[in-house]
Amino acid sequence: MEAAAAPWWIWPIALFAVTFLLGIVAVVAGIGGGVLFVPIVGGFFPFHLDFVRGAALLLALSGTLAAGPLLLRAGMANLRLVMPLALVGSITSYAGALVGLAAPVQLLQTALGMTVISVALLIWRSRASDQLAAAESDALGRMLRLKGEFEDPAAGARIDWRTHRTLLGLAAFAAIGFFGGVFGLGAGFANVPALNLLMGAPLKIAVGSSGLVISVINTSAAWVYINSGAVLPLLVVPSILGAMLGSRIGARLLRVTPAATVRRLVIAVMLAAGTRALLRGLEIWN
Amino acid sequence: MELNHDPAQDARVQALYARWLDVGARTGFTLSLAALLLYLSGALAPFVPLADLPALWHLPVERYLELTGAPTGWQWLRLVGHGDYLSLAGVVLFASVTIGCYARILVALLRHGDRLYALIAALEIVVLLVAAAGLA
Repeated sequence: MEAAAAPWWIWPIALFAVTFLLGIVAVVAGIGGGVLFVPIVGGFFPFHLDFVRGAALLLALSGTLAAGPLLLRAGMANLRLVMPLALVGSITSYAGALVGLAAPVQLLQTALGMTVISVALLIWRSRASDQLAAAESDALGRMLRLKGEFEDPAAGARIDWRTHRTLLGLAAFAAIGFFGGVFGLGAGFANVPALNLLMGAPLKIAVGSSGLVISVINTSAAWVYINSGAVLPLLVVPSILGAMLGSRIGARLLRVTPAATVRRLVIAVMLAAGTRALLRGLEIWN
Repeated sequence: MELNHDPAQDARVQALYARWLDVGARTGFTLSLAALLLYLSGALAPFVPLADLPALWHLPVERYLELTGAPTGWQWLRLVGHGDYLSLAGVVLFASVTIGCYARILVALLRHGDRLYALIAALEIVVLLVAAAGLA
């Protein structure tokens, strides 16, 4: 059946179903939903990439807005750490969204395919660390007071933390914001290593703060898509509701699901979706 | 250089941000869901008929706008009586929550004399307002 010949109501239902599954997988695998949403929906649904990226940004935005209060109250997100990084990232994300909407779609599909495949390989190779030595703060980190204490109930310990390599961290978030704006991604896959491995934040602080950073960075890019008319509520709202419901199920499954299996599944799905985007961009498989 | 530091003050600002974020996100979800039901049920007629969308959503946004006459920028406000644009209002609320949170903590940061973070908050508000205004 041709996609255009199918009745309209099939697509919001299909979107709800896919984002429900993505919501589960994203939470269990510890990644943002956007990195799966854009290549899967862009590759296998009939929507133009302009509308898919607009929906993806709002999907990531709504998820992080919903999780933000809990993360802040639990001390897993640190507002002082988030604010300078989000300021840099939101400026470049705005620029990235403008570039993304002006770029030819074939080029974007090709670059998206290469990015998603690279991220899948990065997830496969990366090892986040919660055993970081408490390195000395640099001058900028001291000025911004990027430090704190974190009570980790799972470890039964209080962790004193402070960040370092702050300037490099700001540069990393500038790059992450730009590419997130171009492709409509929240880029949690890049935020967490930047906060944890580069800046030295404990893993749980990195994961929690990454969510809050996304809520700010994605806001500036989302406005570009809204103002350009690239937000179709029929795509966005079912996606948001599906992802929210899936995330809640995912949070319940988190304790009992074998993380290694989910991780392998995510890598396989990303490689398939990235390859589809790449082949579409190169006009080999339309 | 390390400025005077009061962790309790940081915690208060963080809790304030969390409270505003919570209210904004809950309101956004509720409005989006209600607007979607009005949209899909046909209680509020859409500006672009639902049955026409499958022939349009595969097009680049410029072409979609040409064919439907759909507005850009804030022109959608005059169409908010239609189901699709009332749903967009819910989406716009999501994109506005962070601006409200930053505006609220800016007041608190200024009151506490945390000038550096007040400046960061003020700059963030400017960036997001420029994006929201569509100035590029």
